[in-house]
Amino acid sequence: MVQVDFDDFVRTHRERAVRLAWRLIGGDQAAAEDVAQDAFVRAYQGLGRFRGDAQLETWFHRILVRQAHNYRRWRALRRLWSADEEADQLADPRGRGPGDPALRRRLARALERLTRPQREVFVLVYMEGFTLREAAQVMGRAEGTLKSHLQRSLQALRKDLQDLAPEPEKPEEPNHV
Amino acid sequence: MSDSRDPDERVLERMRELYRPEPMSPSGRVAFDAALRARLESPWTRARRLRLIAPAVAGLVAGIALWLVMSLPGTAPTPGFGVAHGTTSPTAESLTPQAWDYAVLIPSELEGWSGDTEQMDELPEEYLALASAIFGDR
Repeated sequence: MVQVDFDDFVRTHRERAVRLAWRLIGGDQAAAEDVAQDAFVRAYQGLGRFRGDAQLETWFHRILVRQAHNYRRWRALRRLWSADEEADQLADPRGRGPGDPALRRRLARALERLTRPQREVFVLVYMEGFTLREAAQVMGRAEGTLKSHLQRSLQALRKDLQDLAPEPEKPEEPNHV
Repeated sequence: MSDSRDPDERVLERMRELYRPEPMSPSGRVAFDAALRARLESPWTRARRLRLIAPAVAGLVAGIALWLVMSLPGTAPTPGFGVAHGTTSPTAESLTPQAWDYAVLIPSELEGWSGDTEQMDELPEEYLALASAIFGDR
């Protein structure tokens, strides 16, 4: 069994865990914290089974990504069950976060339209800065497969969000007076 | 200054800026740690609760499914003690001569018997007398 200072581990990874969960589940702060705590609890309970053949961080993120997926499934089921129009809306990330809330909601919807592996690899690699190899370890898939998911996700988002790219500033034209 | 990055990189940069929660405040971190500690120290954690509740729910669902299957038409239990095998009334064509006699004596056993006495009136008198002696005036 690997000896781990779990408090230290939580302190180090807490912020990123909440942010990753927030991005994966579509911008709900309370749910993101809940998912992150669940992942820490599961990691703590499973420490005895952790053999150290992967990095502890990778192992924890694997648990976290799975928990986020479980949360999404549960939420989808709840929406289906309640058939509530309001509940059918995505979690509204208006409350907290930088910038325009409508734009954040648009980003959440664009991510929502991706498939599960596309969304997960996109968030891990392009938004959280994981390498493709790390993402492959977290998701338990081959790097080649993830590469193609990454390309497809980028294609889909490019179509949806192209207008987000600020126009590059044009060099000043010489003044012909 | 011009931005020489390709459009994808610019979109991704904007996404990273916009699509993130606010950084946790010091009080938020304290609350997070306290909630996590409470979960870790609770003997009744959600995971444990799920491990106990899940089999119970599965059993309940299986029971309901079994009950539904058993109550479907065509899956009723085979007749047992006290359950008559044929529940439909015999027709006149399907009766043997012995059964026909019985049916005449108890006309309501015949399918389509409406209870009117017109058919009874066609019977010989001794049959009517016998029927009324055994069953009374039905």
